[in-house]
Amino acid sequence: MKRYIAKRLLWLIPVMLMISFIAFFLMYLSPGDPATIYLSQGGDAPSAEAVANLRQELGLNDSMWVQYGRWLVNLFHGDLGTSIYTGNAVAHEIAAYFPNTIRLTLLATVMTLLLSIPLGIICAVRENGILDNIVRVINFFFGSLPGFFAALMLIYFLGVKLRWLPTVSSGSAKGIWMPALTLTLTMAPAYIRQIRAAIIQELEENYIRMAKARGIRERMILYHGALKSVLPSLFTIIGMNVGHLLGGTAIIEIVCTYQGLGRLAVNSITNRDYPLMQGFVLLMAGIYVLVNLAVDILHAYADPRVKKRLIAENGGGRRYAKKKRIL
Amino acid sequence: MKRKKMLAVLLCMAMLCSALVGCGSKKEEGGKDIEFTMSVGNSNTTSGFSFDPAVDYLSQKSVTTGIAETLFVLNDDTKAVEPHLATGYEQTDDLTWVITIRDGVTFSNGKALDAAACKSALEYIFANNTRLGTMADIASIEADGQILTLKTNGIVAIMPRILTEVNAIIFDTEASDDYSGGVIGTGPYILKSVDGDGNCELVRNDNYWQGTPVAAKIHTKANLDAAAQTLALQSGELDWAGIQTSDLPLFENNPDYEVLTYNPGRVYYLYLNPGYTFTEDPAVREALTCAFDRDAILQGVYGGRGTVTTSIFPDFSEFYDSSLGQVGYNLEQAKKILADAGYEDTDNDGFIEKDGEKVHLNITCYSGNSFPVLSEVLQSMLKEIGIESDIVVSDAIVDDLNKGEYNIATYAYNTLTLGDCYNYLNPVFHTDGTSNFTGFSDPEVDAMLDEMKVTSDTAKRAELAKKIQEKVYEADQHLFLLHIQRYNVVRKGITGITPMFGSDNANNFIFWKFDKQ
Amino acid sequence: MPKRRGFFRTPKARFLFWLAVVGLLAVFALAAPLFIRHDPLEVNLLQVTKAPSKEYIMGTDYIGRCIFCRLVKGASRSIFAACAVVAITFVIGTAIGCLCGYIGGAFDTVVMRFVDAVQAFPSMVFTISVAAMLGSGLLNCIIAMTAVGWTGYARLARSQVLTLKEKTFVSAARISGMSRTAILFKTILPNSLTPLVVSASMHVGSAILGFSGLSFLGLGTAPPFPEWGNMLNDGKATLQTAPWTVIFPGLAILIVVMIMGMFGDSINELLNLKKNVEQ
Repeated sequence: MKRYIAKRLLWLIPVMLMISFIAFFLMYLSPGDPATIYLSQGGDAPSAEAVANLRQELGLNDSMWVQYGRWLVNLFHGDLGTSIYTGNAVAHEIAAYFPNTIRLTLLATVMTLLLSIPLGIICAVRENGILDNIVRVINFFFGSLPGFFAALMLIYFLGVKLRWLPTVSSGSAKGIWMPALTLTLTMAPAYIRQIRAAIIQELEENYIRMAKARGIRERMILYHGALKSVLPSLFTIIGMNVGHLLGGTAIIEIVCTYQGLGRLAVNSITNRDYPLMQGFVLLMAGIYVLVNLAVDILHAYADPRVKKRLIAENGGGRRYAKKKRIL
Repeated sequence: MKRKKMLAVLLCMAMLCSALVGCGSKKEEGGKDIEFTMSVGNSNTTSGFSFDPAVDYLSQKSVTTGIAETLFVLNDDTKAVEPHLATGYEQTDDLTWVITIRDGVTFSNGKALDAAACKSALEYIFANNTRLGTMADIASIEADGQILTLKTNGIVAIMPRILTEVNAIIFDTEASDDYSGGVIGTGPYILKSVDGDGNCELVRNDNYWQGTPVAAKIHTKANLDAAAQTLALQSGELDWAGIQTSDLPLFENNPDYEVLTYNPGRVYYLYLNPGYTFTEDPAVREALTCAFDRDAILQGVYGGRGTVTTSIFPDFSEFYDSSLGQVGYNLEQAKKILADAGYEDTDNDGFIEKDGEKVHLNITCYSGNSFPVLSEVLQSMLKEIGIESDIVVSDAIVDDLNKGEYNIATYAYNTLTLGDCYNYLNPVFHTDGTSNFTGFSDPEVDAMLDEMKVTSDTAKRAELAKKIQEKVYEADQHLFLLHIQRYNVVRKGITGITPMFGSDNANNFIFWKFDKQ
Repeated sequence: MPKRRGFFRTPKARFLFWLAVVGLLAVFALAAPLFIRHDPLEVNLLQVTKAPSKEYIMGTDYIGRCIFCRLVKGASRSIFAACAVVAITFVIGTAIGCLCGYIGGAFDTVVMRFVDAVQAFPSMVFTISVAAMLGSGLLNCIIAMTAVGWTGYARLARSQVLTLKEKTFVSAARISGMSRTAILFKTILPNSLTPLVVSASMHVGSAILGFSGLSFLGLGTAPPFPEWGNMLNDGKATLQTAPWTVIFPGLAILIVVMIMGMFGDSINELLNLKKNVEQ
């Protein structure tokens, strides 16, 4: 197992390199020159001379490989570069937003779990009961709302009409609740479904049938048998979603004006702020890979079969569950 | 043990109370214990902030937050230059400007303002802010007591106006090495804290040279988009914000808000490209100049929130001449011009052809200023005169227009940047102009622009501007549509507001007299 | 397991019901534009943001276009674009995943590390980057979403193939002298499709939501052509002053995504049931 972990950690390096290259490549091929875009924010076109100077200063005249190589060399010296827009160090910019993203991710995940574990269990135990059907319909409703539409509605009703929460999250102590609530409502359906399905499957398993036959109380079975065995698959769902949350909440962050990395990333794409985008992607990918590694390890300790499989497959074939919700 | 803890808590509370009381009793004359929350800038495409005047274009600026000030300011109504941190200026020869710095002004750290401090700040700005540096073209700066002398390489006729620019702030360069997190200025408010997004907490500068600011604290929110500003105004989180026109009905005739209107001299216009396919034909461009119903556009797209125009400058400006301008909307005229030039619908599909080739125009726009909507309307108006067109929404408008592969492009420009016309006329109409996307080239216009560059006499500049306009209107390469109004909304009961002229203008910090009734 | 009562007694009945609903939706999306009263592109500046009336049953948008007509016209665009994304990602992902699982070795390692990289890239940021690179437009959105989406299928298909490879019936086929390609196409592929089809059926709804997200960021369909995500985004500015500009496109998306979700669920139920019976 140790060798397995070491191997996975080693794989992290080429994967991260590949990601940073993909990010750089995508940005490089995007139409629009960062220098021109930066200088034309005032609405008027910059002079050719000003653009040439800025391009020189930013090193944009070099070939793609030279630029990428330079970024890489700086990276090994611990320098992520400077944001084109604010002129601040990329590490500084990311550090300003990263804690907020972590906070939002944790809060949204905890709220989602608090909502979906009890509902998932109840729905599984009373499969096809009235409550199960009601939850199913509500699930489909929230799972089918475009994220920004849900956020706008919540802002309008909770912020403007009821004045419970601030409409602008940025710079407000209570600001985190609006995006967290929106994320919970749009994420919970997937969790509830998966938890429900996992518990139903476990309840069907033979050993529980046998326990039932032996006359053990259903609640006992649920807590000690089914729930315990559902935990590993819960880890997988969380691992997958944490990765998704760290970068995928940009739209909700924009609508709620939350100071998160997702918004920063989208802005850096719009502005062709290469260094900022690169730094962001590198960080997110690193976290994603690490979180999933942690999930796999937890999983392996909880379930020897998984351990065997993981070692056999050597890192491949982790996330069987599909990625839900592209945006 | 427990008792000790209790004692400590009590002591702390007592100290806290006395501190609070202390603050209250220290209230200066004219100051009140009130707070406001303002929205500063309205862009959601930038995250982060920097107070460093070398970093251009970020909406959170030292001037708009009241931390620092400029040597001169523009009068809100007349756009004339007025002294501020300077008391006056004199142009001793073509290349030399002598500026007198106001006595008795101190930075918020107590340091007295003198010419040496101004020299240090301006030298930093002109060396590091390329845009301002190029504009000012400084050769050397000298400081002697309260006398600041600027020498330029070439003739810079509008030097005092340049010194009203939002980045030309006077700040204490010795207070720190890194200006991105805040500067020490002379303004009515002092930056107390700022978060990663640029939301500031500002406290009153009790030693402000113009008097004591009213509100004890100002909170600014940066980088909000239009929708967020509207919602935050409604929910009571903001006391003041600029809003988009489509949300005006929510605040007009609403007893809780007051709507303030001003005309920033911003013109919405079209480039008609003579260098690309069908708009090469002067007849097509001439037809286009009378094909668009400006009144319908103003009402339909912009909710009537502006004025229609056939000229560049708004009518209150000294560069405006009522005898100059383009022809207005005339559908029959447009059709006639096209028919006379040999364009007709030969295959009866509703769209015109010439020599068997269907006329097809490309409308290029960017996503700001409701331009995609405007483009859709233009498209429908083109259909009226039988011209087929499609719309391209560009992410990098300047790059795309420079490529020249468009027929019609929508654009917006501040015509009175720094209160002057040159910053609009030169980039758009000079042969080498940076916003000259149609390849407009007229030696006479070039000569007049070059003359304007070195002319500081206002009347003479206005005369030149009018002559240039004559030439521009003849060429049918630009089509001026509207001057758009700006709207600010404040909560009812707030007084002491002056409208902010333009967005890139270093006006006096507008919140410093804000008061609540 | 308590049986459901009434109309939808069996998974098959439920599947057929939702199949019929989806079929009706498709017919509606294709046929309805033939019966609309207004040109969905016709601008009428005298009728800007008019509330729903007899003439315009869902009101008009910010430049006086009929919202109902645009919704109907946009239906085919929105739904079929989403289906295209799913179909393309499904085919590409399954093909690559099967090849990886079946061939194995260095090819598998390289491709799967690439899949790792794409999946570790925050998916939304990746989509936006690709869309930004290609520029706005429906086709470009489809490409951008495909660029990310195929990896999920590739992974799923690969793991299916890996499991099936060890099964006795595959070994039997090998011993009986079937060629490698024949084994892949005749034995492995048909048996690995179930979870892939289930996954694909669930994916249609999220693709529609994905389009609305891209539209929100201004990377959607070029104006003036109607697409639901775009309509929703355009209506954002008049959310309060003319709520119908947002509510109807929002409802349309909601209803279609819900129907697609229910349909996917019923496929899931049906196929899993079959599998259990076979086993």
